[in-house]
Amino acid sequence: MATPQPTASLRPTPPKRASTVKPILPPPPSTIHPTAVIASHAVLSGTHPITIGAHCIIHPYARIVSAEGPVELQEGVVVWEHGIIEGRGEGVRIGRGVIVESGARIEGEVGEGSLVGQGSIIGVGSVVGKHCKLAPRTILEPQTRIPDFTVVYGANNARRVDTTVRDKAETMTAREKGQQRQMDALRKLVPGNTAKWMT
Amino acid sequence: MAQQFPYTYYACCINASSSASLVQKRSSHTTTADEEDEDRTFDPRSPRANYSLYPLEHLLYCDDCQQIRCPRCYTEEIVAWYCPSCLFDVPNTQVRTEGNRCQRNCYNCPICTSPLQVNPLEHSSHLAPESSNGASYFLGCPYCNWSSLDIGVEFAKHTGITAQLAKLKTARQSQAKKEREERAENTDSNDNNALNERPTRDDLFSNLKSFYKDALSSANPVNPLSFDPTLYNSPPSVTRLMNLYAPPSVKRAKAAKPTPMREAHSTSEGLLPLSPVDEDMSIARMAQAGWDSLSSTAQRSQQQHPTTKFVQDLWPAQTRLLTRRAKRCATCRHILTKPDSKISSTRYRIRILALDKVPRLSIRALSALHTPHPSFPISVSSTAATAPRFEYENLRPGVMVQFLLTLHNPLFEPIRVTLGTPAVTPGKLASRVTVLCPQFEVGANTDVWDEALNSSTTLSSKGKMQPGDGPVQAEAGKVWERGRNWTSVVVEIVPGFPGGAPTGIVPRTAEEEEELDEEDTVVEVPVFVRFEYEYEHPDAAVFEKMREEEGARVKEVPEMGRQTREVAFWTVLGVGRVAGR
Ligand SMILES: [Zn+2]
Ligand SMILES: [Zn+2]
Ligand SMILES: [Zn+2]
Ligand SMILES: [Zn+2]
Repeated sequence: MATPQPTASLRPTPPKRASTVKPILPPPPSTIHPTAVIASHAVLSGTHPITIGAHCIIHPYARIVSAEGPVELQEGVVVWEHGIIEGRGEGVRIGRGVIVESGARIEGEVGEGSLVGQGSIIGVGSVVGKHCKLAPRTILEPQTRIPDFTVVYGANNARRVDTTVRDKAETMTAREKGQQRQMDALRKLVPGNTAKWMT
Repeated sequence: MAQQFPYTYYACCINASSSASLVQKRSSHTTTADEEDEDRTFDPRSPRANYSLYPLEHLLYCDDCQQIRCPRCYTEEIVAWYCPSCLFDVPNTQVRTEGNRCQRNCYNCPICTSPLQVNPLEHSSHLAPESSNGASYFLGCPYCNWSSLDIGVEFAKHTGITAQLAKLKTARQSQAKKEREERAENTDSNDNNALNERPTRDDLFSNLKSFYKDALSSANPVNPLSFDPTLYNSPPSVTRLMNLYAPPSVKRAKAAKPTPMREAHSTSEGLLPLSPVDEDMSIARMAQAGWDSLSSTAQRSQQQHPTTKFVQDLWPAQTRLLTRRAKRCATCRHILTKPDSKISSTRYRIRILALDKVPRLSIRALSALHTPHPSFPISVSSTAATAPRFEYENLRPGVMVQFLLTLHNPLFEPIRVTLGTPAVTPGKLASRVTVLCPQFEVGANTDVWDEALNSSTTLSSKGKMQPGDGPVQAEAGKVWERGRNWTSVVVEIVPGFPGGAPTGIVPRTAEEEEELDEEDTVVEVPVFVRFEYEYEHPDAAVFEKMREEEGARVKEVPEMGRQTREVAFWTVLGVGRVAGR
């Protein structure tokens, strides 16, 4: 069940394969850290290299597509169901500890510790800074730049600087701790099949 | 009305200005007043009709007045106050003394209005070694990430947030006052004195409050013996003078009116004079911090002091309380709906819906129903969907269309219905309307199983014939089809010509085309529905008790035994739209 996704780019999305069937095409050249968890219903496709860092968790039905450019997930990235990360141009890099919630679609760079809310879209060539938060269903036009510690929220994509996390180290550590706990739980819950994508 | 055809609207408060008097005349359930109404055809196109047409689902019903009731003819009253955040009941007395905000730990984000959460703040040992217990708390917004740390507010414990916030606020206000005084001392300008007197917002509020209280309580606000020429300009003294010279009768009339009051003059009375120093300070701050530091209008409106200019000064807002309301008939004060006062329950204790008291009218094109008619009215819609679609948006002018008007009876007694329509619909698009059978009966809303068990006998289709290709032969004066609690009759409608003239004969000019409104192509048929039924009156004692409980004035107890009751109202059937030019 694919949720309808408004595409940020005009390019038609590649036709979705039935994810239960083993891909007919050879898997993309990927470097996957052994501690990463990739669900068996997740899809990695494309021809450019895909790098998945340590402790990453890719949920079922998430897709990582490198058809048009390489994709790099740094350490501890979580991609929830139906989240899509598409490599473009020089490549798309998702920073350490980024959480990509369900149905979000990323075609740009996301900095360390940011959270991309449900159903959000990050357009081609956009750069989201570190420790940002995109509220659910935020749509960033291509080539948007979001500075570090920005919260994008509300119907008009209002922005504010997250001074709490920026100025108080304690809140940052508390947040990271909470994230760590969640990741530990997820690692037990998500049935991993990382070996399938190892080349 | 941008709704899909076909639709039915029920009219209520057609002549709102006179309806109250009409109802009063009708105390003995006679229909004299109704007849006045009936003489006039209800015009769905009149500008006033916009305010009196409702779908049946939106209407209530008053058993006493025997009329449908819309939001314009019922009043609301508050049954209970509660906090949407903690779902706690707030007693009325507390609302009166402490206002309509939750006094517990419920706060909303001053930036985005989502409910705030109390979060622990763990001081790591190397950051704050002095901190004794190592933990404090702050309010955080889970949506926009605002937190009370942004305005420098931390709490020692996670309960009693309101008290802690109040303490912090007074501390802050006195701090600000001190700073302002220091600043005033440094700048040797003329308004030093004004600045020193400058009270806090809360002081100002209490000053103003006491000023108004005094002004209201003192019947004789100024001493008549003291001579002060400026006083004669103030309204109270003028009134006093007037009273001295006016004849006694005028005096009495004057006394009934509230006397105009003087406004606050000074800081001690609650007036906040403009202070140039303060203005300079905020301008400097704006210049330094930029646009993003200013609060929006929506954010200010949430604040206790709506003049809060800077985001930095926004204070978490206590959650506003919500209410549960009962609805009363505006004419007889009878309760129409009353929700359970318990917040956790979504049930109603009393709820009289028009849906349960008045037959539901639904209209469909007959040609859309070429499939055999089902015996259950519920399944009608499902088969209609599969039948060939009738284009309601594309009626042809001058070509007769047969519609099926079905009435469902929600009452447990059979009803006798009389329908009345104007022969020609009002408005520019004069369509001709004929109800083939305007008088008929609709069965009682009995147990569904009764019908299921002997469906062959109860179902009778008198006027129905096998539908052919052309218009169906429906007999005048005969019901088309009838079921357990529903009856269908055929309505023949000849849509009129938009613009009044048949297109073929007189070609319409461009101006005439211009004049034609989108609304002028809609075929809407006003239908007057009158139904009567016999009912067994409830036990007199029960009736009496019921009335006393509800606090309505006790009318004469109606006669026992079977009685006939009559209800009448206007509806509007939206049949379709005449095809475009
Ligand atoms: Zn009304
Ligand atoms: Zn509350
Ligand atoms: Zn917020
Ligand atoms: Zn009433």
